[in-house]
Amino acid sequence: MAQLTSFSYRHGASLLHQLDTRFKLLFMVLLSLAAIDTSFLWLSFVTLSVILLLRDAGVNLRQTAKELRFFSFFLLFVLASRSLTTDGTTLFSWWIFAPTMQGLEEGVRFCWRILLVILLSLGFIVSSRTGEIKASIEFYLAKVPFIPEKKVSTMLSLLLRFIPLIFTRIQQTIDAQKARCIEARKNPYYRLVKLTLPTMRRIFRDGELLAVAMTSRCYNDNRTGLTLQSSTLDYIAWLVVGTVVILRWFI
Amino acid sequence: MTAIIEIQDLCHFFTDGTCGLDHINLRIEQGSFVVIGGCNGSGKTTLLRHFNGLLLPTSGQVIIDGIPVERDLQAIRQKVGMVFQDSDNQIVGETVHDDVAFGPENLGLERQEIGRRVEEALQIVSLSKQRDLHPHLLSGGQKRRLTIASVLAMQPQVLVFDEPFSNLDYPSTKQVLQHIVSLQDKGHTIVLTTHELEKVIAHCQRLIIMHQGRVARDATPASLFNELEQFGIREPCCSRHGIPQESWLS
Repeated sequence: MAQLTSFSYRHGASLLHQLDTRFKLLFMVLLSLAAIDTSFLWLSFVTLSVILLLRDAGVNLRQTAKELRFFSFFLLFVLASRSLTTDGTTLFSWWIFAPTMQGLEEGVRFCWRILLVILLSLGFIVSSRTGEIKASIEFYLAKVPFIPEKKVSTMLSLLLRFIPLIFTRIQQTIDAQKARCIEARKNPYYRLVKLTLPTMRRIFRDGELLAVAMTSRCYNDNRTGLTLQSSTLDYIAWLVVGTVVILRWFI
Repeated sequence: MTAIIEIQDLCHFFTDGTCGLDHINLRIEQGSFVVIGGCNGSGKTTLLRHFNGLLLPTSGQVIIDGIPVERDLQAIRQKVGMVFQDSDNQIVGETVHDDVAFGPENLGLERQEIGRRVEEALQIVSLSKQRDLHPHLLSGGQKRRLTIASVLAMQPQVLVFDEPFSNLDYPSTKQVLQHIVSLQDKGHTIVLTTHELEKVIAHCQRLIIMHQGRVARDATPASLFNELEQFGIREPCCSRHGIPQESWLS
């Protein structure tokens, strides 16, 4: 038995699962855009709502945080660079470092926004099948001229299909290296190289094997697609999300 | 009997110039159960991949049900279903149901027909109750059965298994073997590669031994027992101890 990574589809009947994937995709894009340079109050409200929806969809937030722990280094780096490079009231001064209040605020806002986008994507991935995602992307791209919607949607859905596999492979490589005492090496660069190269090699090999397996089962662009159907619930959700997005300019 | 697979003077060279298959000539009858044995690197998997058109001959020809493989790959892949050694790399769906539906969807079938085929295939491999589970949460034996179901949903005539018992425990091996035997009883042609002959020897009618890309032996299993060790295959217990052959299912 295996354990699913947080970024895997889970079968369920939660509110997120009941929504049409086309609407979910639209909501994700709208809320991500609305989160640019917005107030902390708006961010708090939306983040809390998304967390409640994720819990309802069966997502284990503790596991998600654990899986994203390496990402926190990136966020810390962004926070530090923003607070050090933005002009404003100096909080304290030490050697060449002088973080500002405005910079810190900007950094927190930026990192929060990134986290919100990750949570929105998580909600989308755990509640949407690859086939549904493919059909939704195809639906939107069909309206854009000169874009081969079937090819693009296939590539994007395959990429999404691969995310959990990448997480699994990273974890397997980490475990295998821990078993050979990698933690005794203190040089982070050495550890990063030793993790990245074998993981990438395995991911490429997995990709190749998956492609062969799909070819053997007659994979092609003109396959029977899923028929997506919207319901009243989707339009109610549309109304709620629309209101939240508009509220962004008032709170 | 009618030949479902005919291989004429098949040679395969890899891009680095290594010879994978060397002048293979074979004829496999419809409804038969053929085991291809051999040690690692003997060319078993390379040969199987030609049956499904995943590899094309450097020279020679592979004919499936009267059609040369390179003429209509889609039709060939529908006729010959391939179950790979590593189930995890074969599973593409987010649920058991979705994975089985993947093949019929590729054939462009109607939704209703896809649903019917999926239910039928899941029933055959006894996975109907797991239809909404994520495939990666299944046990090793269940995953192998899922890969069989996903191929069965395409209604192939020939089923090709690449090391179907690898990484399986005893109960799972028995379950998978039971399904393979019952599929042959239903009229499917079974071609299976393994280096653990013990598990299938009681059920197959023909044993082909591959060695260095060539067919080294091709006869009934019992007649080859004494020669197996020289090709890196363990001689079955029944032969070593002079006892009658026994099925793993008995």
